[in-house]
Amino acid sequence: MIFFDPAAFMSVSDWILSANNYIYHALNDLAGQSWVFDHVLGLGLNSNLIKAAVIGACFMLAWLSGEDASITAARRKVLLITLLSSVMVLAATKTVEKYVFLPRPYVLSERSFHLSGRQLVETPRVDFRVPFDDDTEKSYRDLRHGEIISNDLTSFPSDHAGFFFCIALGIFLAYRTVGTVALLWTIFVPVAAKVIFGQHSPLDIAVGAGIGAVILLLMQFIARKWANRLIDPIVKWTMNNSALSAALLFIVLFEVTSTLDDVRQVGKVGKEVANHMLGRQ
Amino acid sequence: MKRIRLKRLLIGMIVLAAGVMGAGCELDQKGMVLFPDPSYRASVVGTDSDGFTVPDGILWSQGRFLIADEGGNAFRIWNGPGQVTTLCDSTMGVMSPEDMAVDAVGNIYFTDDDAGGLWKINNLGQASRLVDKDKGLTSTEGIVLAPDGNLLVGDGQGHKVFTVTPNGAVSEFLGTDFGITKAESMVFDEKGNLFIGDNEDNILYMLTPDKKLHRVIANREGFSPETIWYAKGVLYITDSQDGKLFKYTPEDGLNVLAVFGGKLHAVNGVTTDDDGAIYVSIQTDLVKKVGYLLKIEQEKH
Repeated sequence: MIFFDPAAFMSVSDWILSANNYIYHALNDLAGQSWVFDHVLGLGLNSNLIKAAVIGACFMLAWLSGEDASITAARRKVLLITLLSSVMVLAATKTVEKYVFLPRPYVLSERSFHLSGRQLVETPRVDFRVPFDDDTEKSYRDLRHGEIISNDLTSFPSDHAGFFFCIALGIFLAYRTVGTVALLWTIFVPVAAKVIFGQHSPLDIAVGAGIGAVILLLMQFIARKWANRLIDPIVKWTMNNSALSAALLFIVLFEVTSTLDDVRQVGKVGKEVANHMLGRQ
Repeated sequence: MKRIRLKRLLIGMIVLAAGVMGAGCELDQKGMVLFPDPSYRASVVGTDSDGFTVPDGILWSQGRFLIADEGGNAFRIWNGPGQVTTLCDSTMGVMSPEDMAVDAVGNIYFTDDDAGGLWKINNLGQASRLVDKDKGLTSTEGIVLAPDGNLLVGDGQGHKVFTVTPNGAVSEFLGTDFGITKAESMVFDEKGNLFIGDNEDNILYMLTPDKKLHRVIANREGFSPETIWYAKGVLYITDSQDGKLFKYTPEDGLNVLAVFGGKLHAVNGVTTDDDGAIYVSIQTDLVKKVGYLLKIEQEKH
């Protein structure tokens, strides 16, 4: 029996690309119409409070809730694995990013050429409606002068989508009601803003979210099957040291709101200090 | 029944995942050249499979390219795909050829930042080492033919610029007191001003004929001059760190002409032909020996 049909595969691929373009344009068309809409939506992109604090609050609620101790412990187990998975999701999306070079949709609104085999071919220009949001307007002005930050040249897949979907789905697995709020917030606030403002295409988001979901589910399965002896004592410790574990969780959630940016900064300085101490620089 | 449905669902998910990955791969641009001014276009002139590996300095001379092939440890003349003449390579001690200059009678001089010294290929194609490392030229970078017929050679380790006569006599032209850390590239304009690109301090200098040094561009974020080239009143500047090609004129200042990304990020050498087309060399991967030679031209309407 033949499971793989190249023609079917190509048609699925083409259909996905068409759907990607259609959804991107439909959403980007919402930008640049209303000053109020763009500024409010811009908060979902630029404000950690709006973008991520709600998801952090959902996580905290799921962590502290439970009708009895056994339910609380079960939820904490799921949430601990979720935190571990979210770090792996960031690593995975950053790795894929190194192999697939695709600038953000708004960058492709300028004339550009890309490699096809060993030739350069003109890239079809992507229509871009400029939102009234100050940061995006500035990025677009800079782009027109050739000033592009390197992060804007790699948009596939979306690490934000992967990270926030992983966290929100983890909350959902732990506590359905709160998790539904976290998932809806993720879809309609940070992720929608990314597409409407031309930062990501729907395909970037879908693949990022897919990576987030797959790693989370895989980790939940693996941890439950083989890592109970490691996780259960940690859960037990958090139950016995509620105040201290809540304080530690505050630090973790503080980082979640910035997609671990500060941790990366601390790690970088730590590496430099270690190299300095070892006389390598 | 339930099992068959599950199997179909699984196959559907695999096809969808493969389709998404396929779409992602189809969107993969690998490398990009972007133009803020849409009247420009880019094309590939040659690649590492056309007779060179990873070019650094390039020079258009009489309808052919002189290529300092850093990845191939060789100096080559390139007339097009497969039409290559290697004039000098590692068998003579060449390690990392950098930059070059041609004198009035067609002798070629080139620098080497790993082997040091200065190399000469006379107009009969015979190569020799004109100046050895022990004359103070330990890591040679930029080179330019001065109006008096001597060569000016930048040294990255000594932080100096030397004068080298056609016979190989060496003297100091700009000492450490001028504060140039690495004269990576140099070029004269028609008024006799010498432009010097320092890609360690990220400064573009201009030395006037009365030997006064000016900082033309300094402390500018996203600017590190790799190679500079002057043609028809315009100074072209490549920036391999930031993946940019700039054009500079005193009237318009510094402007980005092209942005390079992905496999084309590391833009190095730059030259122009008689029609004003710009050529740049790209160092994609020095270890795997992947490089490109690109042509950038303005469309005529």
